[in-house]
Amino acid sequence: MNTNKNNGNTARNNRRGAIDYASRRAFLKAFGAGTVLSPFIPLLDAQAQAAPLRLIVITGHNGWGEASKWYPSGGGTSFTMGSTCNSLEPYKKDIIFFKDFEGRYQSDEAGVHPMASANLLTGSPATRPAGGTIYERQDATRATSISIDQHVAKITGKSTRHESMIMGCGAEPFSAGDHIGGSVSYRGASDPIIAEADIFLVFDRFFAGAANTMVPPSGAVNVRAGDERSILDAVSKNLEWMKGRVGTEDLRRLGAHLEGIRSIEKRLPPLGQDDGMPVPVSGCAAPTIPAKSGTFNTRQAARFLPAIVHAQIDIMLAAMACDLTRVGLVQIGVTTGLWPPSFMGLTNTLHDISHNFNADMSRFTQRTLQEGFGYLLKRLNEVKDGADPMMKNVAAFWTNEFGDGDAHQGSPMPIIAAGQAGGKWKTGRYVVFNGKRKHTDFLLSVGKLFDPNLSKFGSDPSAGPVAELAG
Amino acid sequence: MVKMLRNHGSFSRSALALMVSFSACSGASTGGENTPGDLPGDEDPDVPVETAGCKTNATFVRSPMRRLTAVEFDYAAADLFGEAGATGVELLPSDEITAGYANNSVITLQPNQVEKFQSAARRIAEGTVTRVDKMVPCPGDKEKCALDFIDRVGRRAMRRPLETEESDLFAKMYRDKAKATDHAQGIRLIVETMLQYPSFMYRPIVGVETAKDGVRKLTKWELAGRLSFFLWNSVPDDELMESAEAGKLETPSGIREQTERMMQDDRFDRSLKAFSVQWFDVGAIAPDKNPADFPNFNQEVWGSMRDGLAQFFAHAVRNGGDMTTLMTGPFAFANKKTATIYGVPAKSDTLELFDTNPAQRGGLMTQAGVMAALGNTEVSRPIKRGLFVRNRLLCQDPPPPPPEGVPPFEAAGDNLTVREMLEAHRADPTCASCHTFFDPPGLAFSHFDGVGQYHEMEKGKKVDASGTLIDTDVDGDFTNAIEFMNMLKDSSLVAACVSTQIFRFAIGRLEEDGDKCAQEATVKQFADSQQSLPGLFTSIATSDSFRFTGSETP
Repeated sequence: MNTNKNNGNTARNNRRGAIDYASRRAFLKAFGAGTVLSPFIPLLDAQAQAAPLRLIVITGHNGWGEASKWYPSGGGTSFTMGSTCNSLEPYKKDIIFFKDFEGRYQSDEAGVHPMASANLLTGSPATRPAGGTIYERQDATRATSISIDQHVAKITGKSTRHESMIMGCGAEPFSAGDHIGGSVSYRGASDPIIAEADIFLVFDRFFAGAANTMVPPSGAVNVRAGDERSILDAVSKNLEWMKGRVGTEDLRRLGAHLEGIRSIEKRLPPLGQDDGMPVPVSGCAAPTIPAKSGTFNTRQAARFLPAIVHAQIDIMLAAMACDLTRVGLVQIGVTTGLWPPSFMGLTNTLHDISHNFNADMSRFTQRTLQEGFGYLLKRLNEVKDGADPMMKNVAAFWTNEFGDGDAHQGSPMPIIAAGQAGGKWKTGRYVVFNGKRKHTDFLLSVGKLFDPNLSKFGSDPSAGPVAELAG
Repeated sequence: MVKMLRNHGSFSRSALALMVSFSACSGASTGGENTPGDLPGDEDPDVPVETAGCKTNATFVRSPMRRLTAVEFDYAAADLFGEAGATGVELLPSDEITAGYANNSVITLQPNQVEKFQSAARRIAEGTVTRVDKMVPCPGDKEKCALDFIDRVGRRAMRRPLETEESDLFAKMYRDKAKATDHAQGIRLIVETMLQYPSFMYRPIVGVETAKDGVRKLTKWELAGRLSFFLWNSVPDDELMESAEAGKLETPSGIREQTERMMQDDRFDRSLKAFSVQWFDVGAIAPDKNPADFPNFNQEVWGSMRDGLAQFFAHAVRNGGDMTTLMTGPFAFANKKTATIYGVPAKSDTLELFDTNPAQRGGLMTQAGVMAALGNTEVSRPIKRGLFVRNRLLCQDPPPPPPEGVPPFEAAGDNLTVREMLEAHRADPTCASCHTFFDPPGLAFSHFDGVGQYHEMEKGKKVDASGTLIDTDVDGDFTNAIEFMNMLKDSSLVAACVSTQIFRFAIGRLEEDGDKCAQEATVKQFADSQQSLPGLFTSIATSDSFRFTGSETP
């Protein structure tokens, strides 16, 4: 049980700063309170409320390496993980390991990599322009519809401060050849989201930073929010003005910008009102992340992948515990991938490894599963929604645009599901399909968890839900 | 033709001026005097030039709206509000790269990215509070000064005069804020708003209809913006805006006049850097190298290499260089961090111009940053280098990726040099068809290791960098990088590709069929000017592709 007497102490003592205005909102929302917190409203423990369902996606890239090391042995509820997936062995009870999905909308033309990753979560064929050399066309490869994480985020985002948290480790396009087309998350056709690598920026966005500076100490007049409001108003007016003066392609981008402005406006406290007092919610605290010092570089996946991915997962789960968002994605690496995973002593680039060093590809997949999906499963058992582990209220999955990366084959496509999805998924099983299941079937199933009336997702008219998820 | 003025450690403005006027004369295919009105298109500036011998049915495609890149945002903030480097470029959203260059022409801003611009604008604006008197000198009425500031700076920031409603809105924001707090806070609010203002952040190109169907001409304001971001990576200055207002950017000659002026300004270096590091794909973050092999390589060394590459290119252009300079110029900009790599006696932290051993190193390709970016973590990287030459210097498509079952070339054996591994690999006919195309242009650089240092020996054997170049207009045998680059310098394919690369940087999209005539004209002017690099920038800025646009993507 929490009361407003212990106002902020634990949170303020946190190394990275106080739980801010955001948590207060989440807190207020959880109790159905209005914008003004009355001291007379009895304060309940946040966990007394039913925990919401969240979606977590972790992606690997360039395939799984050696097929022989990929699959578990045994079957049904009695199975042993293959050596590539050995880090998941302690969490077998929480997963459904599938053999296998058929990847839909595969392409076999040159420069297929970004086409495959654009198709992965959207379930639609990718597109690219005709001009330039193959490198330029790869850069310009785009998905043609929204990805499942963003589809869900549009639904769950109505109830949370942030629609989603899309992060990546070594997934950013640092240079030509590291394709924008390597994005897996799309807000819509030709609208990729570049996964954010910088854990400090994500931390600040969710737990301090912009929101914090809008929030004055208790009792002060909220000057900053007044400024923000008048700036955003001017920006909105200008966007509207511009919208009347550009072509349809550009209009789309101005519209999205305006949407961003509106979502920021919504987070501002009412004019003139002191709405800045941080309020702690039990079980909701800013995560501890690595210090911003030394040689640690949050954009240098090659060297620091484990620390970066752990921090990203910690930030995601902390934000979910506070109900700041219900959709999170961590993209580990990128299709093609021009950096070498030197953190584990490998000196060739990801792309070279996927084509020329199959044993190393297995090692890389093993290690990134361990640091990514394995770590996620560990933490989902530790982080609580009240008495239950968060695992119970999560639908998570790991996937990869290729099974056999060397051959650029998206079929079979690996998908490992995890979490009980609020009771809808029956975990602890190794499922070998009797007949074919397409990856678009799985995407539809995930969508239906959040949108029960969903009948079609992506471009596949014949996709149907994967019944095996429920047992 | 004046070649490199090698004794100039810093950029020679007089040499550039000389080159510019020269190229202006010879670059004009009419061969007239260097006075406004002598360029093709001057006579009827409102429609594209009908070039004899060039026919295309395609029309210009629409130029997508670009959002300022991170460095453009930073430069523009500095030019408008006077504090360079205040932005925290690494805190802005990553740039989106298309056609090889950062131009942010597709991706929409996510709310978290909008917040990044909010934060940057706030940081910069708060920095102006203590120096407001310097930024807005005001001996008299503060409000009047503020309103002047709004209109004057607003015009440059948005690359057009402010609309009356906008001007009024900014004025009201200033007044309300100044009344509640003070003048400095009022100005701060204006700065913060302008930096987040979409008309500042985005560069739409819409144009106006012309007599030719589907062809639109850029407005004078759009042209001024396109010119300043092309040449300065930033907003226009007052002079450029005045020249736009006076209608002087309506004709190719008028554009040329401004282009020549702007290329003599220090701000031109920014674009030369932005272009060269993107052309050569030398990013801000150091490529990963195995510390066991390269213990001294780190982000600082990388930064010096990267800046050194940019300065090489800038020096070549500033001093009226040509393809020979670009491809073979035996010099480098080094400091004490890169001295060993270049084998020069640099002692300073600052980059300085040094001669390199002309038998070993010359031209852009052999700059340490390029060799390191295209180097492996351990050994030299012929395939990557070869593909780069094909793609970025020759503008050629690589062959399709390897078919299934091609063995890794390392399978040939551990004690072999990279060349020997590749030779074993090429012995397989299924491998040979592609590898004879892209191995040799990479093997030419075998003397350069993973950080771009020159070596005579590899694994106890004398380095062999010989090979045969095929499928170009300068095919033939070479024994090392110097010979190889001496072949490329004479290639019209390479010259045209350089022009194409600058085109993509300038226009922000891939070349299309509708650009064919304008591109051919540019390439011809480049050849006619004896390949004057500054002349090439002028040619592109005055070309039809730069001055016109399409309505929508056909």
